[in-house]
Amino acid sequence: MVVYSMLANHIDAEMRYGRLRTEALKAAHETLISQNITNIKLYTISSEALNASRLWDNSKSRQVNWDWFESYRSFKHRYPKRFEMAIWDKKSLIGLSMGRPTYRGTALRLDFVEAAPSDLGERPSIIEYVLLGYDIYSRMLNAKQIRIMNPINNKVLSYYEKFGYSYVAKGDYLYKDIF
Amino acid sequence: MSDKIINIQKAKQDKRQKTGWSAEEIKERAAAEFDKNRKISQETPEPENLVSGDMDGFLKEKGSKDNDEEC
Repeated sequence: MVVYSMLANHIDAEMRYGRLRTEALKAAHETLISQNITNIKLYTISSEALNASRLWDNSKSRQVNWDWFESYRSFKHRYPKRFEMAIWDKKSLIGLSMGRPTYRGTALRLDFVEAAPSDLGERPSIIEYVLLGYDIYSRMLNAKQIRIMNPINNKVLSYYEKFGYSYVAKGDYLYKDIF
Repeated sequence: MSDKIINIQKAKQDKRQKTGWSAEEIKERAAAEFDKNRKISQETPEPENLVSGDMDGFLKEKGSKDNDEEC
């Protein structure tokens, strides 16, 4: 009985937060269109996006050997309140990201982000689109902070700092308060 | 940042915690933040192959941490 109840709660949360994710990405699209940016599309992570991420395995300059299929499946299962986004430039996948609220919901974590490897073709930068999505979703959840977890190296860490994020060594993340 | 500005921001944040953001406010703030971030992005070259996160660590974890508010 308890198991059924937990399952029902999980399904209910998945649906409720799924609607919020869709609304957040819709609001992000509206922002892009208001700025005449029509080539960039922001969607949730679909099987089409996951399949497209397989092409990144062909890169010689890719920094990580992440398996987005496996990690997305696991992340989705564990975190119904998650945020996720696939960033497309016309028909090319240029970035993937997943994050989730902290335990009490005071901050929204950006757990993973990966841009399409640069040796697979030119693409626009993705950071402004990633931050746009997280900004909107964090306000929808009324979180106080966005946290970018585990910057991969000092260059990436410094890059995030340019956008107003501050590094916390204990916890290995950068944060920015939401005002 | 001066103490006065920090206090104003703190007061605004405290108010937000009680009332939340309206859809209109969210869109306005999103547009403003996007403008700001886009300018920075255009002025600062993105590191080659922007990546962050610890996916291997996540896949090894069995469950979520009970309290990661202050991590």
